[in-house]
Amino acid sequence: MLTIDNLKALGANTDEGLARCLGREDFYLRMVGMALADNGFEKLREAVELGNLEEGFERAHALKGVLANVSLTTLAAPIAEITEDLRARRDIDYTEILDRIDTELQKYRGLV
Amino acid sequence: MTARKWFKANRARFAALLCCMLLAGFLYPLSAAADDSEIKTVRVGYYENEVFQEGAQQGAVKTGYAYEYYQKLSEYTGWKYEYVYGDFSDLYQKLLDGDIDLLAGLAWKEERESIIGYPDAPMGKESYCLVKHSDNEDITVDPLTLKGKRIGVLDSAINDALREFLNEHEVKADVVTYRDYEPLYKAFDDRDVDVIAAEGDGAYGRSDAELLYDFGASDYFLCVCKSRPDLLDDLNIAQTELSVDEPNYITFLRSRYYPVSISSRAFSTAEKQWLRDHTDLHVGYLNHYLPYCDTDESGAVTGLVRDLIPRMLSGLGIEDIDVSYTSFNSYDAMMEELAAGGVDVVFPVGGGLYYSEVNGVSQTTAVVSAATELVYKGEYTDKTTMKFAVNENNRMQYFFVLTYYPEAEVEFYPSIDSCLEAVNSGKVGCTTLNGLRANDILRNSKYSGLSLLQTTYNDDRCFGVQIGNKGLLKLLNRGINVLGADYAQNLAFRYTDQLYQYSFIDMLRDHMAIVGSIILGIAALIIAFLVRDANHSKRELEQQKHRDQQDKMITALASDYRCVYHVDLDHNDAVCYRADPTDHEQTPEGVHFPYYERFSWYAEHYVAESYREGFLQFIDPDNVRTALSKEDIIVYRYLAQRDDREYYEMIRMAGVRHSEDREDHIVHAIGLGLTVIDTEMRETMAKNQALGEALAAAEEANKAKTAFLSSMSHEIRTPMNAIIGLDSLALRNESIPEETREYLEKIGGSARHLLGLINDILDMSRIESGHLTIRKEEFSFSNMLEQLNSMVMSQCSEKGLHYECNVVGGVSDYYIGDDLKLKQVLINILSNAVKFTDAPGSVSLTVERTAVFGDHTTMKFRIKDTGIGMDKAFIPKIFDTFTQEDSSRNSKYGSTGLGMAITKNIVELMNGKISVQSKKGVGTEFTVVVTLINSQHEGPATSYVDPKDMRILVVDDEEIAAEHARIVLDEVGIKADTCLDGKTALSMLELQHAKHEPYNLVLLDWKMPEMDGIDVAREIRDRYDKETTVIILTSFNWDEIMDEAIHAGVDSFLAKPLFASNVIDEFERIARKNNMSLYKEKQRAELKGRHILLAEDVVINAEIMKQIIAAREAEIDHAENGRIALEMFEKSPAGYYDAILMDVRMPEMDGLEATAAIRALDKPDAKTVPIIALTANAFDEDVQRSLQVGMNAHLSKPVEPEHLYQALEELIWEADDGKRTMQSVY
Repeated sequence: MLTIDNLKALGANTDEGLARCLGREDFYLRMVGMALADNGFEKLREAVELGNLEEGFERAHALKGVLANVSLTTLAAPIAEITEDLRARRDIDYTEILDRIDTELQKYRGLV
Repeated sequence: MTARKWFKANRARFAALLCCMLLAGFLYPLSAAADDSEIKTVRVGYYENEVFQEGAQQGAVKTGYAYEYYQKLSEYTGWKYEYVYGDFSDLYQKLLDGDIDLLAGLAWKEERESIIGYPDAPMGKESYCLVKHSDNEDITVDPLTLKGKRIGVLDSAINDALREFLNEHEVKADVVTYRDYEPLYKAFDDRDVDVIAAEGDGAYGRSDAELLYDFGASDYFLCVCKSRPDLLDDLNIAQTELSVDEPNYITFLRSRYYPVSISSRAFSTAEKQWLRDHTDLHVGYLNHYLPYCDTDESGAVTGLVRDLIPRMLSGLGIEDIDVSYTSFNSYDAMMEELAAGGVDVVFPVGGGLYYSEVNGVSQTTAVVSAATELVYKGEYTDKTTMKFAVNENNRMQYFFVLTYYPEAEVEFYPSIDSCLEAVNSGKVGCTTLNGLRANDILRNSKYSGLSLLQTTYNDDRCFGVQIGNKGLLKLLNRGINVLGADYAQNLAFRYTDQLYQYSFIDMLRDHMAIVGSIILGIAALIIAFLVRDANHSKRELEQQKHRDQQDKMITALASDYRCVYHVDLDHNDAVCYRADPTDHEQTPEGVHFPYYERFSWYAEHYVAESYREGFLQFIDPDNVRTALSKEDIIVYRYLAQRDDREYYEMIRMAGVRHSEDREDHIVHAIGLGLTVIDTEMRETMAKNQALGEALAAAEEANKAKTAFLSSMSHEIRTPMNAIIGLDSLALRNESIPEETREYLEKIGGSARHLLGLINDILDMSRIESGHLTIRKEEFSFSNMLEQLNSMVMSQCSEKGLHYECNVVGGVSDYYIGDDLKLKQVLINILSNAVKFTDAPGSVSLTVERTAVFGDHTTMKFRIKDTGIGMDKAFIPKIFDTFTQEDSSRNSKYGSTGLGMAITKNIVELMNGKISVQSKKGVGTEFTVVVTLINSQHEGPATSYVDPKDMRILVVDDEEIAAEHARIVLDEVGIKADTCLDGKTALSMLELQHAKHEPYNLVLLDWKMPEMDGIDVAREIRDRYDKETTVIILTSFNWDEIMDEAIHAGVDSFLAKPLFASNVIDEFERIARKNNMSLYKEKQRAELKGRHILLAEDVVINAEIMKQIIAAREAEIDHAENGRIALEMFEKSPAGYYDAILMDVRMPEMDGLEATAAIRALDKPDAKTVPIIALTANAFDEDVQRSLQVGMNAHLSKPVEPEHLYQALEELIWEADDGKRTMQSVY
């Protein structure tokens, strides 16, 4: 169930997120739902695994913005991390970070 | 007259005279050599000329117009004359040859000017007249009637004047010239000419000649030989002086020597008519009025009248008139007879014109003008003139009294004798006597008790005719004129004797019986003389005494001067009151001279060239008037050069009356003095030079001291910065051994102590040089106390002391004053108290408001401790520099020895008082009393600054210093950024500005390469106005750059190394002063109803943004990428969108591209619509890029709603206001 308390339990900064949405809970939760439903996470993994770091950076950067907007802090943190690596086009093994992202994402998606 | 008789040369006499002259010429050099140069012997060409110059031979008595003129000149020039005789032509030649020096009577001729010297002023004036035959009716006073007539004229200056006259009136006449007067008059008598042009007396003796009119005049001069320019100078000066002293002198000479002129004999129509109508002249006269008139024993007329009438008639050339006289005992009866026509003329008439008119009488000009004398007895007092005795038969006397003593009571008596007796017996206060009569009447013994006082009123005695008898009146006036002014007066003595003689005989008869009586009488007479003389001389003596006193007074007052003058500025006239006996060039005392010319001459000759201009300017009359309207006395000092030596002299001037005492506020007359001030001047100059040198040396020393302190402070502070900085860095390392930490802490403590010492020395030097100023700014008194307390509290608790602060009486939250200085004072004292008190002691601060008056409040601070106290003997020295009671304590307590001296000085600068009481072993109590200005600020004190809200940029080229500052600020929770040069600082400021998170404060190092702190400050002010506070950090003394820095926009200064509390204090102070909150509130626009275009590809972001914007009731249009946004904006009407929110990363066209394209559109709002970048990238290069393409601001995602509103509202307001045009950096 996607609720404020559940999100908070997962480590989301719901106060901040709610404030951004002017305290409108339903709107906020709708936005969170939309963010979690975004297929950008999949596209990110796909691009990185194919070695398309350019594409991967674009995807990560967009996700970072969205997640920050809805303040899913714990998910936004690894996304921000990969964004910087991808911005620098670092030729590293992205498996670990992608898995971390996935783990966090699944926790949130489990609420929906 | 003048030169016209030169042709009558007497050859024999000429030869003799020539000898004399040669002899004189031979003698001249001898006499000149023998003479002192002061007295010049001048050779005068002396030719015989009737009236003008008579007695032209050795030993002959000399008289005449010219002769008198020579004598007059000599009063001014001091010339001694040597006369050289000859006829005019010879003398003229001698003048040309330089054998004589002066020759009188020459008219000015252009061709003569180069060969003889003409003075500026003439010695006389000759008028020219036209004379016709009296029976010639063709010629009238109209010059045109001269047309075609023959006019005879002497071939001289008159000829020129005549031709000029004829030209002027466009008259063509036949002018015949004659070489001499004789042929000219012959031609006139023979009627060869119709008219002659003659000099003043040219027609003398011709009864058939009639004057037409004057047609011109010519000046004639006393000329000087060309080879004696010195004499010409003397002459010019003398003539000028003479004209000032006796402006009418020439007129006087003329009337004295030439009373009879053509005009005085040429009768007017009315006079001719009277003469035609009358063969008799009946004269009425008054009896008993000698010397004027009386009837003698034989019944015949006597007195002046008897002489005057015949003399006048003959003077006028009137021969066929019979004169008869009728005597009157009473003035009134005489007047009645005149009115009845019984007499034609009466004499004398007087008592003023008014009463003559009342009597129906016209007065002639005065025959005699004499002052009336008052006759009184005893002391002259105000009462003397209250009652007059008046002779009822002499109405003139009555009229006189009525005119001049209208208040007086008049008592009539039948004769003047009875009047005098009335005075003698005290019945009346006084009577009057005509001036010509008074002395002789009073010589009679019976009037010996009477005194005379001359009034200032002249009572003229004249002839009188009936009003309307014009012809006779004019004839009489002409006759009086012919007689000359002095004639009657000179003649009067013949008759005045009789006034006295009569009384004498009478007296003798009275006392004939006893011989002794005669002797007695003689004695009485002598006594009478003596008394009279005594009365006279008493007055004279008093006057003389007064004059002497004045004279001595002038001498005394003038003792400070070499010479003293009185100057009449309006008439350029000066006279010397006190002359310098050593100055031979000087004008003698009492002699008038032209002021400006003479002192200009003085300047040219005796004032050193470098002072001359100043001197001339100083004496300029206009300058003098201007200067004396402002100052009572004006002075000019100059170097004089006289008698081959140089000395300082001064000229001083003061108004005779101060300008403010005069109605026109202008000084007209001044006193002028010259003083030799050589010794004083030279002493003063030497002193000034010594003082100047001493001053220069002192200034030099002071400069050296300042430079030394400034450089010392820098030289010491720079390594100190490193020590303190590195020490604090090292201490942050938690892994250092305890022993090392202890060392590091001690290093820090010592370094801070050393820094304190340097700061104290700098403070002291600032106080001494007067650079320390006291601010007058509003501050929070409670905040100040709070800070003070927390600081002292922690010091006390560390030491185990008890501390308390008491506030007595109502103390306001805000006052106006210098809180930083006040805090410094209190901290100094409190720190000392803590320092010198050992546990378990106590320290207390008591604040008391002792008085409120007007805008001011007096505050008393008492700082009391239970410390070691001081010896009584030391107390007076406590405020001296570098004094400590026991120097050994220094090591124990640690002190600079300057603190109290600085404290006292600051208190005094605040106009406060500091005092101390102390007892050894008991404790010390300091009392500080200062006056603060009340503030209008109401409400509780609020802290302006929350350290967490502050954003500070530290700019210092020394990395350690910058890092130290960051750490110090970080410790109190202030986030600070650092950079190492001004350029970087400016770009950082720009970024923060774009992010709408500007730095609140920039701390700028002063000395940096390329751009120093002041340059950076100037840039910051240019770009961001007051948004950011700028403080210069320096280890130098900033006094010298203060003005420049403040002008550049620097808010304040702080000494290095930095302490966080100082930064906060100073920032707060500036914020208060500028009356601003931490975040400068900008003007904002209302968002309601605004149109916002949002370019955002991510739906969620867009949705959230829409929500945020909608909350402010603004309308938002969403574009999914940059291209769509560009199209939407392009199609919108101008001004439709109030702002664009532009995501940067977007597919198709990103935000940067879209922004650049929008800015490039040819649309009125394309350049002005605010565009705000939205990006998750807060990296500087991103911000930079967005600014470069023309965005106005850059906000990071996720965007805080309030932050977004602020950015939108501010930018829209700015765009609306149009105040800010797009800047390229945006």
